[in-house]
Amino acid sequence: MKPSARPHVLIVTPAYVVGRGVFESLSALSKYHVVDPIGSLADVTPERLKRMRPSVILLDPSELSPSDRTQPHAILPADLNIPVVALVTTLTDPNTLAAFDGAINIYSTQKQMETTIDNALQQGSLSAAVSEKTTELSAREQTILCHVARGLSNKEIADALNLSVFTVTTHRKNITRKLGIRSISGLTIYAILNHLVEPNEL
Amino acid sequence: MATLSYSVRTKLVDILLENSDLITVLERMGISLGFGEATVGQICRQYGLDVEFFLMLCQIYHNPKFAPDSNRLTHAALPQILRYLKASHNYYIQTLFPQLEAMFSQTVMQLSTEHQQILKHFYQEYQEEAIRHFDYEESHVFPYVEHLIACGGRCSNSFHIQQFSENHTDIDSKLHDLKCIFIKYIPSAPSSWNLLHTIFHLEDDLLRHTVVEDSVLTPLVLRLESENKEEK
Repeated sequence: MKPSARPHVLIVTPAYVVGRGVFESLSALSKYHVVDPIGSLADVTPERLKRMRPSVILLDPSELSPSDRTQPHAILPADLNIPVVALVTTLTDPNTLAAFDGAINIYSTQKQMETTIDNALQQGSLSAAVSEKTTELSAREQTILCHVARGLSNKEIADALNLSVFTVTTHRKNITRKLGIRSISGLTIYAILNHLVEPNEL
Repeated sequence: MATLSYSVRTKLVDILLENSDLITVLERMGISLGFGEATVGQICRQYGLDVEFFLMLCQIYHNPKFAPDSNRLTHAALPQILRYLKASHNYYIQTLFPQLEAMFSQTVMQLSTEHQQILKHFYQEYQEEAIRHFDYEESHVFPYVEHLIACGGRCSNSFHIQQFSENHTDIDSKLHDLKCIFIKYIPSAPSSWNLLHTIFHLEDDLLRHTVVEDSVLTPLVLRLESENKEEK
């Protein structure tokens, strides 16, 4: 089991059926955490974005005011840099589309959607909050951190991952050194805030 | 042992201007502001404080790495050491914790309900642990020291100050983690700055508090205990 931060996908389109359809197709891939589609950009306030911290936004270009068409990132608060992919439902100017981090439309296959989203995520990975933070730890360290958050002892983690207790201890020291967080409850909070574990798993 | 850079003749105002954190200590020791050009010696006489201990306290707040020499103190300072420690517990519990709690709630309000709950739980855990620790000192350690003072060290007691090597490390870690989490992972809210400032202040004060417990109170009581043993 490799726990990775599942990217959070936010869909914004007034086209209800399209929103649901994209939601279902992406959820079926189970590699994303897809948030319930939002019908209007007006409901996507900066506060809400900061709270949700999506990894990528699928935005219907028709939701942008004509002056914002060529700068979709203007919808984001200045301190958030999230890739925005166009979710095209009507005929759209190619100049508009060029400003997005990729585009999908109502004819896109599941595979095409996945590729477009992953490309956008990769481009945005330098700035997208979640992916940026989790790169602090190696994949192995993330796995161990998840086990720590779930309350497993070093011995139990060693058994689960077929490692020696010594190796687990070394990883744990490195985790604490990298994050500057020492207590188990502090590490658990880090894991939750960075979507490495879901609170209901604990 | 480090020597004190402050003396009985140092003006209290000069010490305070150099060490803003001492202001809250004055409040805890019941010293009123408006003391003009009074020296440490004059203030201590006025308030009936042990000069050596008061100077030591100033020095510890000035530099937390300062290693106090408990040999400069006599048993007569013990009641005042206890007074400082108890007043500090009160200051944490009555003043700082409620402030922290309020600012904490304001700062996490921007987060999802789930994240709010988890962070609040973490903070509660910290606060309860800290209060439990203070309670233990107030119900076991301090009464023992008071008892020892009352009988001039000549009393049989199953408790010894060495048992009070209770470590503060776990509580310290949580406070440190809280700081890191708010700086690194929580976007700022208007209350964030005050929250962090208060956490830093609490952490600094606890550090001094621990120095007084470990390097002033404990060796002094140990001395009283061993003098008693020799007499027997």
